[in-house]
Amino acid sequence: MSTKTKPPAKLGGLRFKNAVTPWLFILPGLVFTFIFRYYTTFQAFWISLHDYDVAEPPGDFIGFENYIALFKNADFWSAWKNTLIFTVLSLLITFFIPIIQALFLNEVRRGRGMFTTLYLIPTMIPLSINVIIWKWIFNPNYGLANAIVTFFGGEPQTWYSDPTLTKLCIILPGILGGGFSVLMYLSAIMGVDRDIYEAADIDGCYGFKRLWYITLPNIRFLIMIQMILAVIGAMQILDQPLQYTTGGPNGASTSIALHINNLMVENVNYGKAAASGVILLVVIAIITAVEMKLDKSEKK
Amino acid sequence: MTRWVTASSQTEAGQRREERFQEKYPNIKLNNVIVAEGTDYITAFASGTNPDIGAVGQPDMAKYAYGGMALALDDYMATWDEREHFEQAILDNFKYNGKYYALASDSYTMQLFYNKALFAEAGIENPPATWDELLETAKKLTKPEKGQWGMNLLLSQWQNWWFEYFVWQAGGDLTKENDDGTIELTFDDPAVETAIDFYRELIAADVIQPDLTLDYENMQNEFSAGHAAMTLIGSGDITRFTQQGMNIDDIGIAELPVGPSGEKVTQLGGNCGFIFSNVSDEVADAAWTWLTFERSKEETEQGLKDAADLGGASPQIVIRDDVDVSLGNVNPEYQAVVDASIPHARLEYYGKGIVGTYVDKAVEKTALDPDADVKAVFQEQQELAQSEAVDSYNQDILESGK
Repeated sequence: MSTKTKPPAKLGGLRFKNAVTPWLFILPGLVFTFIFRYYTTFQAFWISLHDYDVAEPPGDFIGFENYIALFKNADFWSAWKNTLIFTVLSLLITFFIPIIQALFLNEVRRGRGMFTTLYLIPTMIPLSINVIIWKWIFNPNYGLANAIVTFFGGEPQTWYSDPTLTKLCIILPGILGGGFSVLMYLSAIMGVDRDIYEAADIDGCYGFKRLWYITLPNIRFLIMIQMILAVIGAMQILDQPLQYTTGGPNGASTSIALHINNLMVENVNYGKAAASGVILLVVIAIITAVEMKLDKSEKK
Repeated sequence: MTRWVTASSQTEAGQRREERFQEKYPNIKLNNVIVAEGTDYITAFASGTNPDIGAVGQPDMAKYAYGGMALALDDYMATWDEREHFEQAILDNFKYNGKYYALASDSYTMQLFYNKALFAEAGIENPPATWDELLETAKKLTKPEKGQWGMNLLLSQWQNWWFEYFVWQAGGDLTKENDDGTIELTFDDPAVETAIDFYRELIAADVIQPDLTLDYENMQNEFSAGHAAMTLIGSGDITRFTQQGMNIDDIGIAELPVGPSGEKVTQLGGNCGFIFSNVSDEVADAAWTWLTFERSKEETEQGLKDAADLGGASPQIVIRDDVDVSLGNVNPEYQAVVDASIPHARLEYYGKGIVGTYVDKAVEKTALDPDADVKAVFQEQQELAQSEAVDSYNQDILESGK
């Protein structure tokens, strides 16, 4: 009497199927990721080593000369300085707003759906429309901002035209918060185990203490992920300075991404533009690695 | 044959022209690809996704010709029976190293546009004729409480464009064309500092747009909206303002003010069409057919009639000698100003397409910062331009001339 239930050949086929099927599912994604992410990144690095010739690519190989020239260029450093200020301003002004909005929504019992919709609607407004609205608000002659400032006895400002204020004016619209971040924070907050809150209630942990010791630590993983994404997004800021101020006045709002754009589109210097892009990638990678190293949320 | 068009350039008259072309040349298929304003040909060329023909302003054409991106048209022009009807000087604007690389599409002079209603309201009878008058007139027209300023000044992009006029009016230039076609930079010309000083005077007097980050398009929109009382723009752009709702009776045009040199001077501008070098012979033939069709006597006159139907064509600088310009119903007042400007009009400074961005940077850094050392900043940009752009450009010219 045989105890075998499956013939060895069939068993081998099933194992093969089980091993290969998952790869078949992820293969298209992997292929496209390599083509459109990694290949283009390596291509950019390759271009950065050339005095790129559009008509006869890639042109003369010049090693790291593009990088050396960038490091000697004051505008390159000015763009980096602006980018870091944009990043800090963005984190200070806009990062925490969606968390506060999500906490508020979590506490609301009636009208949560309405408020959630209200927070989402602004994300549907294109940036170019926002630019028109905020340019009107900050118009030095007839804008709302100067009306408010002068009402309180202040001096009217030139806002976007003032090199010291322009970056703030570009980031400030983000203070309205909203968007998908609110939904993500809200779902994370609502996902916190109710038993923990009940235990906290019994221990007399209410209000701000409950927020500080229960809610925030339990959504810390999401805050860290959002923080990493926010820093990456802020370091790559391009559309806002381009549309609000075209990088001015006098380069005061030219971010490194806009600097790269200008090198490519205006100066037609693909080699330097690619070198700047590679440097930006490396800097973002280092900052992201540091952020992930500092993040203890997964280990706890 | 593929060409790029923008949504705003897709007019009814343009579509009728395409229909006439297809009717006349049914064997050529015209593919219009709609792109955003300012979509870059060079990036497309680098990735092999460029159209077959391009249309650019005169200063930019050098980049395409010397960069190997444009096809030399000499073989086509040798057998082109219409050639004799074109002004030789205008054809020669697109000759590089002895070869033709593009055909002129239109031509314009740069003029001072002013809002007649705002002038009348301020009690000003005539447009300014000198720099001093320009400043004084702008002061009278600046009324912050009404959101109105005296004049537009290009400070947030393409700064080198208008700046060149002020340098010329101060008696100098930004570059020099050597006999062998190479560029010599002259950013240290004393006229450059004079022009920057005048820019600073205008900015300090608060007579220009209060939002210094306004881009070119929005700046011109502010003129049609009645916020800017004066602006600079090409003579061919009158319809642009009327299409935006400005009353044509409020639009005045004048010659550019005279600067310290005492000489009248303005820019002779123009656009051109060219064929990309990476197209097949068959497509190149089709592209040439389109370029010559667009510039034919019949199509040029039809263009004038179309403009007349819309209220009158812009003042004309005729690029063909066999066209009946009266078909355009051009306002004689405007035409007189353009005719008076033509003898003083010149092409943009040599090599603008190569070094313009360096001048942009220097103008921005010095005009907006009264403490900036003008000589030092322009010297720094000149050295950068020399090492990053001019040296290789000059080398290409010398090599292609061998």
